[in-house]
Amino acid sequence: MILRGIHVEHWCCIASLHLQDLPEGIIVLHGPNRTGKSSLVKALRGCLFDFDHDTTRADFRSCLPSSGAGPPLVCVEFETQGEVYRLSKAFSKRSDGYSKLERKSGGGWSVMEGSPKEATRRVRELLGADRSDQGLNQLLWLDQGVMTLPDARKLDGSLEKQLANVLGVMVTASDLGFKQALDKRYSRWFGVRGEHRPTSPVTELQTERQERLKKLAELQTKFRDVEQTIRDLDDCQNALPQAQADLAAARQELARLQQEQERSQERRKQYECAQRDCQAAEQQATAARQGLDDWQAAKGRWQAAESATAQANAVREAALRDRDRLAAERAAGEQALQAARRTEEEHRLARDELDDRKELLRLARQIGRVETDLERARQLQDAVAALQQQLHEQPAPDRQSLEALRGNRQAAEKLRAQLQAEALTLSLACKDSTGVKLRLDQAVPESVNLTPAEQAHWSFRQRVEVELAELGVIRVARSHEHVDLERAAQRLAKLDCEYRDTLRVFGEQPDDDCLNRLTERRVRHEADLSKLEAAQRELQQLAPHGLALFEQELRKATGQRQTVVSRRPDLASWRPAEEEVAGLEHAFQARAADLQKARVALEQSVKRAALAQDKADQCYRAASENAVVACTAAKYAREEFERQGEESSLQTALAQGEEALAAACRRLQEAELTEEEKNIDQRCRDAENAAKVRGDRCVALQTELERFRGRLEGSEGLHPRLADAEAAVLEIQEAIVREELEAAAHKRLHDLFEECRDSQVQKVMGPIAERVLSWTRALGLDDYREVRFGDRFLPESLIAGTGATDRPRTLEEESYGTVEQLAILVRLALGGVLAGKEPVTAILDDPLAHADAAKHRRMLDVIRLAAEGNPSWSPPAGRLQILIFTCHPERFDHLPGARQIDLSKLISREA
Amino acid sequence: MVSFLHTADLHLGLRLTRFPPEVAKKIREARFQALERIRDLARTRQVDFVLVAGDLFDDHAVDSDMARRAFDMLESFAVPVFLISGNHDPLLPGSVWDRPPWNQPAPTRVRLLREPKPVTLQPGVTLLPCPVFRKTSLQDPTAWITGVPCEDSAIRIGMAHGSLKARDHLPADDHLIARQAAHELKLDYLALGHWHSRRSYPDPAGVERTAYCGVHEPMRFPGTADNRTGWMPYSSLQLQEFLDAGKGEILQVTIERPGAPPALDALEVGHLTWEDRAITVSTEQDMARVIDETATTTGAERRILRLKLTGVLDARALRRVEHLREVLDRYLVGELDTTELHVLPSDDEVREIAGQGVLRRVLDRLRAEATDRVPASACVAERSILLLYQLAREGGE
Repeated sequence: MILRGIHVEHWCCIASLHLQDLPEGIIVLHGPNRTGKSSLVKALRGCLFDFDHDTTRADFRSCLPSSGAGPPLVCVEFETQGEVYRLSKAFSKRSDGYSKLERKSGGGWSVMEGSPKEATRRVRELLGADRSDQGLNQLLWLDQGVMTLPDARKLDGSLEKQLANVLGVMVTASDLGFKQALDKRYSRWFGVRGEHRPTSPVTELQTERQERLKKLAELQTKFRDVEQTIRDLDDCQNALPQAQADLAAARQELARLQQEQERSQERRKQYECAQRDCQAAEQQATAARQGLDDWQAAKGRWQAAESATAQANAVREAALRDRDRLAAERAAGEQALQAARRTEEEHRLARDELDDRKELLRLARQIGRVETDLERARQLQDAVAALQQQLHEQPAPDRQSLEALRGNRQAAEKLRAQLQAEALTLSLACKDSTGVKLRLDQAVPESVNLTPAEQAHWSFRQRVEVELAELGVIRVARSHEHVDLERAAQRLAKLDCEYRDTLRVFGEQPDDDCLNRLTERRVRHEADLSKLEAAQRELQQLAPHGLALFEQELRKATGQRQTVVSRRPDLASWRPAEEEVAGLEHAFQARAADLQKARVALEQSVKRAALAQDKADQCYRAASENAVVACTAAKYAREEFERQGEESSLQTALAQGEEALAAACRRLQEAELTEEEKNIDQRCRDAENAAKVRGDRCVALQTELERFRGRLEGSEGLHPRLADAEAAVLEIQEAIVREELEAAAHKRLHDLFEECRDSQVQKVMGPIAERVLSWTRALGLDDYREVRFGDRFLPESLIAGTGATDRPRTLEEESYGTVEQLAILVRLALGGVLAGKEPVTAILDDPLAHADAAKHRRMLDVIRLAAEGNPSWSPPAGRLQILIFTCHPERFDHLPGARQIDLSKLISREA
Repeated sequence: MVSFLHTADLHLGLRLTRFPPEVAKKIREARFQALERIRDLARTRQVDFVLVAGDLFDDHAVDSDMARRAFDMLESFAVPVFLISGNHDPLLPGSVWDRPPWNQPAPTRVRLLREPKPVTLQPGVTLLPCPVFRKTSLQDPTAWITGVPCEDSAIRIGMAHGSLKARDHLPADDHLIARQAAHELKLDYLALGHWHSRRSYPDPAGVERTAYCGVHEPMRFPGTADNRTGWMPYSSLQLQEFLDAGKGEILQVTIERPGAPPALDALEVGHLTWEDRAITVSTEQDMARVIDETATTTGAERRILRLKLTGVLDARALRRVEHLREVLDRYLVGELDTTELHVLPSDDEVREIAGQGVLRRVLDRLRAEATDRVPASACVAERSILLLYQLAREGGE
């Protein structure tokens, strides 16, 4: 459909508007706010679709003019299927309301449908929609402020059908029904991201299986224990008879040994008596031998002690001599150290004079430096004052002012040239000399004398009056005033005035060389400024706190010097010399170092002597103690030796003891026992132990046997319980297999459906997505890699970047401007596809309000492309008639071929 | 003349792990119902006594209720019941035999023969019992009879539990019994237990004096040795002799006089019928026929049916499988195995259900996956196809 004309009367604020011969392509209808643009769009929607002529809808009331004029009349001319129609509606419930559809035939209109209802129905049939927000209108007729695409869930069915007819089927109703049913069942096992739900039947069954397996394992363990118990019981039963036989044998052996033990009792007593005698004789002989050995040992110790006493006394004498010698050496060393310390103290007194000389030297240097700086600061102060004076007396323009003056002159020259080129020339020639009175444009009339010899010329812009004394006044003027020329003259006059005023500020006359002079002044001015800044910077560095500080410092140094001189008058006439002070300092330091070195050496020597004396003292005391100890030991050794008795009596006792021992040994040998008699007790004990061990073993076997019996009795009912537990595990395992298969089948079906749906959407919407993407790039939105469409012909998300892991972004995540631009691109792309053989109309009410200048400019290019269409695209894009309503017409200047309509001139508003 | 019933391997308290608890309970209960039939036969056929040749219980650790109920049941017999322990319920210390009521003295009818020594059942009839003391044993349980003097005037009946050395490759520890034990031990009849199918063996003179009586109630699907019921013999091998015949039976033995050939009469006493069927289907008519047959079979509540369907069906026919499951629910146990039943939707079905949209693509992909060589993937794909049909139909409705 193409809109060819719109006629509105008494509609909202519009008293009258007539638009005719609307072309295809882009039409920009502009006007300031409150012109009636939105009212015009509403009239269009209401007439074609939304309002019957006798409508009582509440939203129609706002369309009635506030002036009370009426009834509202809207007439829309449109072309479709090669025919031009006109739908006229007078909105009134009274007799003056009507609705009729006419068709253009020849040069006039013939009524097609006079019945209001039929006319409305017929128009809706021709245009393929029942409402202005249905069908293609939902996509292409945008109200003011609508930025986003329609909600995919609310996409009109007829529009979807049209898109499916052109692009192909994506998802059928049965697909959607199936998916809904599948999702409902799928959620039993899986979450939205395909993860297993914690409450999934599979999980619950697996948990239950774990419980049952645990119970089964416990029963199986019990079962194995029972089996083992049976084996153990067998072993126990087999072992018991043998153990009982062993016990009986052990008891028999014990009885036999006990009888043998009683028989050998007398002989064992005799042997024990002889054994005791022999032991006593052996002890007596041993004691005698020990007494003799002790006497010899005591004698040796006494002799050794005497020798040690003599040796200790000799050592004590030697130590005493060493101690006396070292005490004398220490006293001599201490006297020499006292002398060295006195000499060093005397040398230290010479230090004060040397310090005073150094102080005088420092003060002389300080006074000299301060005087020099003070002099330099005074020179800089004078220079700064002189430069400031000079800069004040000779002002100069800055660089911008100078550039402005030059620009002024260049603009003036251009204007002057323009005036000269477009001005008219009045040429006068006369035969006799005569005087004329001229008035060029608005200039003051002037009198001019003409001579026959020369032809006079004057330029003028608009008009000229020549007053000839004899003839009267000749007026020459342009038929239409050349407004631009007049504006140029005014501009030139203004520029000249500004130029002269500026020169006057600097005291210059507006001659040809004045700009050069000003330039020289500016150069000089800048040089002086540089000097001034340098001087000020140097002064600031030299005396940041002013010259008073220098003078104060000078006075202080002079006072300090006077103090030193008063303390040491002999230096009053002394002229400080750095080399001299350094020499004195060096000599002082050398002498002090020598003295210190000598003193330290003496101190160390005295210290060593003291240590040696202490050591000698210790040696002497130790030797004295050793001598006392050795003497005491010798005394005790002699007393012990004397206590041992005589050597002869000891040897006699030893001989008697050895003889008694020999006699006892002979008697013991005569009472010696046989081997069996000796170990009869041990054999009895062993037999008793064996009998006890075997008895214990029998008891243990009996106990074990009873224990095993008890354990087996405790296994009652284990068999059915184990079977039931196994049955329970098998049952749950089968249930898990079934449930897992169900879950796997649902998941496979779900995943496959998603995959196939995506594939189908990609196949159908791929070319549209590519077109939108290429336009997006033309806009400068280069970061999108893919526009992903959903299964309702509208985009769901954008993929940015090049990485496979880039997260899809919904359109809502973009900025207002981008959302609006992308929405318009999608609308135009789909609209172009649906346009097919016949153009369709798009209405954009105040579009691109949020676009920046660059994007706005590029969007216009895309809108132009979309309006032109292209049959070679895949799928082909038809032409569009795009009506743009805006209050900023300058924003749509860059639309070549677009028709601009100023509604403010065409709409007459209601009073 | 002496007449008696020979039964064995009652396996009361049967170990079952493959059925739900309530079904397992019914199967175990059926063994008591079959025992009741034996009791009725003992009365109606006026036999002198009943021999139970081992394995009265499925395990020596059955619970006390089971032990008590079995005891009471046998005590209610009109004639004496002599029984020995088997390899499933050996005479172990602490076993069921050591607990009440089996360890109490002087019961009226039941007599557990704990020792291998001759028992005079009635004048002129001697029973030589061979009780089992271990689950496995390398010894011939009948060996002790060699030392028992033989009286020509008495009918000698042996009762043992073990494997007759009727063929090679038997496990050595399975209580092996000499093939000609009856002949060598001068027995008129050797009542055996342990094997689950009824068999009789002739002596060198061709007289059948040795017999296994079979089980009184089936324990597994006939002819299969798999453990799908969960029961397993306490033997080191899965012997073919343990296969079920699919019916429960006992033997009535009549011996006219010492040395006379025994007359063996097999009597059916089983309560449940176990059935294993495999049917190939390819059309909806096939499925309808299977459903009809399954639904019209009598005594479904006493049948344990394992039905395996194989073949390829279209989706519509495949939906009848659910009908078949409903029919099988009427059985005591009705297991349906469809692992080898595949779905192959017809073109009409594809158009009708999947349409031309996404669903069609999904179905095509799943059909390709269903032919995958990886069984798990193919299985999931097949199930997914069925699910797709189900959901698409639900969505359409």
